[in-house]
Amino acid sequence: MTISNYISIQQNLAQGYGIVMPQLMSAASTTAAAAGSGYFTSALRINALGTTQPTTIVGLLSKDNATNQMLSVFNSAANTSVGRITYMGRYYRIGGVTLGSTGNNFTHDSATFPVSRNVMGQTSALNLIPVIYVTTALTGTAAVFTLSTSGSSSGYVNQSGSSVTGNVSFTFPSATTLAASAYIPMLNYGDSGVQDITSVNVSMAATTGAFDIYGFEPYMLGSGLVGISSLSVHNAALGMTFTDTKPASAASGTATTFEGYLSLALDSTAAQAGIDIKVSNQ
Amino acid sequence: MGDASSTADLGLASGGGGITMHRMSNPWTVPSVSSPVIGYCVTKMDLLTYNNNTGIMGGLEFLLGTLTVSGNSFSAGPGMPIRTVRGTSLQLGSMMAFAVVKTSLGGATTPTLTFTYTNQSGTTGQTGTIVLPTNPTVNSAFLLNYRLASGDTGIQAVTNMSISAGTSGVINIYGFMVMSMGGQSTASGGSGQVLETQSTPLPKILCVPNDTIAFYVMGNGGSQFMCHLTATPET
Repeated sequence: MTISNYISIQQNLAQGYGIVMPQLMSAASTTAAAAGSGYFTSALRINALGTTQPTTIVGLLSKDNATNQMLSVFNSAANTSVGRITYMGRYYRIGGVTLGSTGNNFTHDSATFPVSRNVMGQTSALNLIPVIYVTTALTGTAAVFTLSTSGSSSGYVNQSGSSVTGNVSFTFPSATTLAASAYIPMLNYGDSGVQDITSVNVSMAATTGAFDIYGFEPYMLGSGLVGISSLSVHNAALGMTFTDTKPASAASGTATTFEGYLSLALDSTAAQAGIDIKVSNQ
Repeated sequence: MGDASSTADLGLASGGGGITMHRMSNPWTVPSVSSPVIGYCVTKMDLLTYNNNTGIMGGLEFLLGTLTVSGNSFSAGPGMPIRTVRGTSLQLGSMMAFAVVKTSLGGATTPTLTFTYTNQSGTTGQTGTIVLPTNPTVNSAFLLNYRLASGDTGIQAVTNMSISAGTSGVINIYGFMVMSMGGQSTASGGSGQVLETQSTPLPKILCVPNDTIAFYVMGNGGSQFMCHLTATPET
């Protein structure tokens, strides 16, 4: 039946029109963030089975060939001695950057952004949280980059769809930043998300190093993993979104995408588990 | 309750279920009732396991089919029942489906289990396959959700099972309806997830006598598992 109220969610789930996704997530040793690298030590939480960070990433269990899937329950747990924020959502790979030389070292993914989906009855370009993910460990120097061209032209498309020249530099927290480390690069004052990234200017190179840039679409936020604790967000009507969570459509081509958690914490190495339930709108 | 470890899943890329799961060996049977009571509604289920960084689930479990490996002999189970859910009588479809090793397999080197089923919409003759690890041990549970045909999300009934290799052992397929679930952050105590089942969008399904309430744990098993369950009689 068409989901029209809380009861219809339960009835659809009871008839098998849903997907329960138990998750055991991978963890990797990372380098903590600093003020120049966006403050938030972050981690991609992805499937423990099949993932070998940073070279092989397997997204969380997700039945993308179902008719449609809307997240209704989100639950997560981690054994960590410090607090953490955990989002569940979908990652879209925007591109990759090499750090071995200065200049515009950004290579965009083959798909054209923005990615769009129907949100509350309207096709909307998604505003994504930028996440950088170190694919090759740094050596030599703590590299520095900005979201712009070397000639200080536009480097990203902001939440309003405007091309913006990034004016905030990002400095890696260590000259030996570990692979699999993840960070949230700071945007210009007033910007809250990106629809696309077009240029990355490396102003100080490392000897070696590379990272990917993902745009993260949060489905639900679970704030409250403090200490050795777990959390649960289980009100479908009060989630951040209640929309189809199948991959959004790129403007052209097919975006490289997978579902995962985004964990923001000082302690990024703690293992994490979770359970999510999606329901189909029939 | 406590169990020995189960066998790790192979992962989706290798044809497995995508996650290592374990069915605790001591499910609970709903007791008999007397008129005018017709059954129970579970209002609260607290779960705790002595496993670190894992997830735990409790819920109604229905036997869909049994395969005796020797001779590839299949026996159909009762299947998913019809139950009233929030005032409407509905044919249930599994929220999750597991192939559970009832008796450890022998002579089965990464066997492929093939199952034929009726999907959530009542379409018969759908098929799925899952590759099992070699000779999985008792209570190993393999998630079938991601091994269903494209577009399928649930099972109403299993009509056939067969396996490509093996000389001994028994496999059951269960349909599972989640009543309570939670994350378990640490084995050192203090953080089992407590969920009041009434407050979640999980379906509220009447439990009738002889129903089975079973418990599943993510990972290779649970050295200890505890559940506190509260249910109210329904008339």
